[in-house]
Amino acid sequence: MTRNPSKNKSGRRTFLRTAGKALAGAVGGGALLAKSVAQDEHVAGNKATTSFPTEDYDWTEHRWAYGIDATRCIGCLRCVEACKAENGVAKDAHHFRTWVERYVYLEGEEKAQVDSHSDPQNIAASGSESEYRFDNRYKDEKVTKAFFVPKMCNQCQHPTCVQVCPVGATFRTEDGVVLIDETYCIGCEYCVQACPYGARYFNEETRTSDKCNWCYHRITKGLLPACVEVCPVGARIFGDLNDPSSSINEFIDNNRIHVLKPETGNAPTCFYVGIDKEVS
Amino acid sequence: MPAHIVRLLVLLAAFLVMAVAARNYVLDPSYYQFGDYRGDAVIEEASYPPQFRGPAYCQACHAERHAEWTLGIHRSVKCEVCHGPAREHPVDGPLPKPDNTIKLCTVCHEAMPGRPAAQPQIVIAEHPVPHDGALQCLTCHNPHSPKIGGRAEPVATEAEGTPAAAETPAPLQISKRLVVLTTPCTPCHGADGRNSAMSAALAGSERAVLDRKLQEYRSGALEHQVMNAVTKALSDEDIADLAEHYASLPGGPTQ
Repeated sequence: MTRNPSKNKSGRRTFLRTAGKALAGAVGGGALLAKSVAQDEHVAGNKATTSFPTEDYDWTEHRWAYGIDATRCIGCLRCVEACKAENGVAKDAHHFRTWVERYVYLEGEEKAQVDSHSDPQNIAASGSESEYRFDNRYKDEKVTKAFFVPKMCNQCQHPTCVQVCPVGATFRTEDGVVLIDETYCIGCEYCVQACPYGARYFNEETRTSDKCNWCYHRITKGLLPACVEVCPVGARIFGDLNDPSSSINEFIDNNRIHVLKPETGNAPTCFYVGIDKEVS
Repeated sequence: MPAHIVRLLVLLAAFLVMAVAARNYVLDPSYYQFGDYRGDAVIEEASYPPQFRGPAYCQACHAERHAEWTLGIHRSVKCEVCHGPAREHPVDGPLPKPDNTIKLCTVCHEAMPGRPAAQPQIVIAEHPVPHDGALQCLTCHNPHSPKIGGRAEPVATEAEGTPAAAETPAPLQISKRLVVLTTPCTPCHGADGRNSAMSAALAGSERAVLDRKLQEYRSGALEHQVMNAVTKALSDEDIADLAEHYASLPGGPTQ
């Protein structure tokens, strides 16, 4: 097919040129106007103090990471209860920011039996939905291998949950934590489905998504996340990658670490030690 | 310029002005401050008050307990693990003293497949003292320094494995029957019967005295919560053998 230059060509060109100029003018002028009205004032207010988000804490100076040593975990679930107390997570058997899974290989079986503390049998053993313990159900079985694996949000460097959020209600901070903006979240739950680790849940009370944020209100005050604070055996390690002497750098340097589901490309910043390939 | 083009441009301009105005009024000013999200959300998230305060907060008032705890094997278990988050304590009320310690302690110490070998664990049914609920773990164990008969150890390096396990003395050469019989006695009285730190030293005592006292503990004539419980099921022969065993051991203070 040949192209026939039409008579209208110059007319169209003029129109486009004019329209383009008008558009640029309107956008430029409008945007400048708008910015001068409120946005700049507010941002200037936020930036007036040199550090963000608080006076004593500058998020550009930190790069947080988390270590989980499954060889130390005793499955006592103090972390789960502490997390709920610290973050006001619903005290039932269905909502968790962090949880612990138990992998048990019985003699002659290739696949592990997996259960978590929210399993009905374990809830029955604790006698309450707000207290957690693992039922000693394998004590009379022939167990060839067994271990506990704490799980939580992996605070990915390329988070799928952030990718799918249609309203900018979840995002990754400069210091490496994925947060949820409760005010902007519309509760569509795309992120809950997008997370390859099942780390998110829907909070019926606030009608928003919810998940672990490494106790952002604690780490910005120089404290450890609640789960790390209460772990009696040092199975949970937390620290700043920017600090060469931090416990997380020591953990990463002295162990063969790996992350869950590396094939997703999510690049988690939760590093595991002592788990099987079967754990994902 | 033709009129219809002018109309179109006016419409376009009006739309743009509306869009910019809407963005201005509807969108939070801190949106786009750092990226496609509300910058203020970070400030809000960082502003919540912490619930767990850490051992240093407890130490301010409970210095004595704190000192005892830092010397014991439980020093890796912080105050709030058992007592719950301090929050604004004492302003907002007292913290719980766990009453059902059998339930609480076994959360960590019940022998269970999957728990690392370094973790001190008990098979509840085989634990020396009968656990019918009358006796709690606290009856024998001090939760802040739970090793029975042991003195609080000075803080060495950061808790690596279990220092307690390595310090168990070599077992005496005694009959199998006596091993079973003395199992409930050893935690408090020591395998050599010479521990008087939290109980009576038995080694080298008069056989007749030991025999009589055990009988009295069994019958309840002598009252002692632990001793009454552990002697309940003993036969006369058991008591005689135990008395003979401890009377035969060399006496003297613990080394």
